[in-house]
Amino acid sequence: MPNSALRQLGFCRFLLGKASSVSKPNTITLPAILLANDLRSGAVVFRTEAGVWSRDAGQAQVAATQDAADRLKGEALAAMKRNEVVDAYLVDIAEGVWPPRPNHFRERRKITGPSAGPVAILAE
Amino acid sequence: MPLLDATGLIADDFRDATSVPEGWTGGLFLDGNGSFPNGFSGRRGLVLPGEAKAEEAFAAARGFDAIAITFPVFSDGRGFTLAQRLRRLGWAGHLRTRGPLLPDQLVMALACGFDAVEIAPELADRHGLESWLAAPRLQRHRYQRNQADGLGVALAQRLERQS
Amino acid sequence: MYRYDEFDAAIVADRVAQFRAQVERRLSGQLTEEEFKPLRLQNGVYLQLHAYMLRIAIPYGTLSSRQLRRLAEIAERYDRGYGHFTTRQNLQFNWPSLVDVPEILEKLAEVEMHCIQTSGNCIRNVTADHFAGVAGDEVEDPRPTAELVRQWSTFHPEFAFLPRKFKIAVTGSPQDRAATMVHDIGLVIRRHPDSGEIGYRISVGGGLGRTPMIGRVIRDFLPKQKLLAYLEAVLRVYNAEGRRDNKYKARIKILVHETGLEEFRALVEAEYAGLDGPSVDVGDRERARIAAYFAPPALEARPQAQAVLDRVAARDADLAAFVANNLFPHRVEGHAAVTISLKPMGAPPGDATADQMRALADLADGFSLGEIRVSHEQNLILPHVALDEVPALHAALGPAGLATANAGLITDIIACPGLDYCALATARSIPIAQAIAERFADPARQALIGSVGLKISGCINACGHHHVGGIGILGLEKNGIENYQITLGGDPGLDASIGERLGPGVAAQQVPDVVEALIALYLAERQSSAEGFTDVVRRRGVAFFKPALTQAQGEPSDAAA
Repeated sequence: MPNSALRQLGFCRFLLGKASSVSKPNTITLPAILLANDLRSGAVVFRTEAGVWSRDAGQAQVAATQDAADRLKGEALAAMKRNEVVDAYLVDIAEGVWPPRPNHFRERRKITGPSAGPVAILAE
Repeated sequence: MPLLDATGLIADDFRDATSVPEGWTGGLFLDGNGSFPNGFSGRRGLVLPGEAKAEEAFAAARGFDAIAITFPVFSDGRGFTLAQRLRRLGWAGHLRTRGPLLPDQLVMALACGFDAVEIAPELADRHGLESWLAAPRLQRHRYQRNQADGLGVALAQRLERQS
Repeated sequence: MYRYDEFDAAIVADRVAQFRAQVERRLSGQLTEEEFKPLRLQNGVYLQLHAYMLRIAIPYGTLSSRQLRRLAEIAERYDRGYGHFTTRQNLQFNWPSLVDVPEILEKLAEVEMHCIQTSGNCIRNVTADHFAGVAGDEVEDPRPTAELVRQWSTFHPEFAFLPRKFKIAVTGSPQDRAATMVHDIGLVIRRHPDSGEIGYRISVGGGLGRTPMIGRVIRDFLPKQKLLAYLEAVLRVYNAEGRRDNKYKARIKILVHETGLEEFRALVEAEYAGLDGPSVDVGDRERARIAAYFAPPALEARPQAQAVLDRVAARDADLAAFVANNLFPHRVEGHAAVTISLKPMGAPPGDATADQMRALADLADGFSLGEIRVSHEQNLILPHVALDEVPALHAALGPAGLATANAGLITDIIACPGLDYCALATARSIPIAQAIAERFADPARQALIGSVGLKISGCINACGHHHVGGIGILGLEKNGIENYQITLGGDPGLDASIGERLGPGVAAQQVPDVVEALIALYLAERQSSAEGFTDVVRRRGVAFFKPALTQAQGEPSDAAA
């Protein structure tokens, strides 16, 4: 069959699986901490100064500069590649509050746990 | 690249028309953009996207010996339907998948009428051949009746037991 | 109920073994998270806010006492002692670890349960009328159909990577208690008006979420024997033509809407005509084999039982309220299906503790032939209770916290887990449900108000079915604070309708006030107690209810989080 006919049938146009993404400007609201879910248990964990993951938000390492935040981000990617954690991302927190208080209520909920139900008592 | 069928790894007697090794006497695949080398008399393969319309694809494949259906990502299941429809239209030639399918999809592909699955090079190392070879043994029965791979159909086995 | 034969058992066992290997490959890194995600979703494993979540299939909402006991064990051993029943008749555990999931699946397989296809872009749990086999208005028990579709859809090799999820519901009764009109495919069992043969009315393209739509009838009557072939045709057209460029436009409802019903029907009918139906369908013998598992239980009429119950209830106000609200008439005289409300005051709607599950399993053995149902309204049901045994049952339910007499009333709220648990949520739903329930706690007031159909979703995905609530509440975010939009006039039945937005959203603390105001308007306007909330909305329009919002507008609100 002539190639021109094939072209007419449009078989040349493959759907791309994912459009290549343009990197967004790398500004992260500061200060920020890094949280993730532990791959094996699913528990919410925080990246600490010591470079490990802790379930205690009070142990979280704080990035106060863009450089520090970029380094934390790099650690997030590395940790995901090492299959330690999933869904690691930086979360901006309020200044001068400890344990860390994320600015958005969704991430606050990740730290406190459910507000209702049989396990709500754990969220105190 | 590695090629698998229900029995395991098989020799691939096709190459892409864009990268023909010296002295190749086997088959060649081309997509809509390519053309066969002058004087080529080997088996002819056509590469189609998973979203191609079945009737058009069947018509386009007239005169070809093989079809490779591309899956742009493993989660795009259109190629499975295209394969089913091509077989129903009467395609009796070789039918293979191309693209980053997971080992866990090998059985699905064979059931939908594919003869073979190309293992994407970037996945071959990471998943390890064992995962691929083990895949067909992981499912002993199937509920659906009209599938191409001859896996034991629960209904048929039930009726056999009852009679 | 259905019992696995060796093939059903082998199919589940093989899947458990396969997933165990997939988990190992994930932990070793052979599978990336991106590759593992669809595989784990097809085994019911989600990643939520605080932990993984495991969604267990309860096919067509039918459970045995043995299965319920196993769920209680799993809750205690691998989770935090409770589970959540969902609007698709499934059960969710909120705290399993990934490494435990293969073992959990094995424990489930031992009692003929699984998590197969409870998530992912595949055909999901087939839901059915929770009063199947009980309701007197039933043309045919929908569960044999649901079981047949379950088998056909399980590991269908062609349809494991659809554009998006696919949900099928079946009703055997003209009173559609399965919300078929808001499913991707809805099946209504009916008799052909001339021949009297049994078949299906088939609707497609219903769904809630971002773009709620009522399903369109694609086939007025399909003979029973041809169901699987027809479903295959619909799924094949969807798999080939459904949009894959935009996750929010990928459901079949968008395809039907964008293609147009006539053209879509033509595509399906062409596919159906072209495929070899008899090679897909299972034949009468297999259908009869499955149906035999759902043969009506050998219950004898108990003509005296009602009177006995009435006499006892006359002396016990709590029992009387329970009888008035929680009983559904059974086709066999002197019996009822008893709703076990999981909407007690102060607890998340749809939750049950392990102790409650065990208590209910025992009560099912004692009072209901060992059978339990799960409704898409997040309640449990004991389907075969003798009326004269209801007092004893009620007395036993009380200490277990399972005797709340609010089935179908305003405090019988449907609510998704919301932002307390769900990674997709934009706002919390459970505290809203609890606050409303608290406000309307008075049983006499609830009885006066009657059924409202209050449904709450914590995000636009509408798992709380708010679109088909008489009062629907949608939790969003506004200026960094949870904000709740209210819709009115939804209905999930055969006369289905999508609720209409009342006006701008309100803060969490204002929601109970708004609901109070809505109810006050309703009570003043209704022509009789027979005119329900949605009836009044339909008669007077949503604008009539706007005054309920005006008080709440513009008031400063504090961030509660």
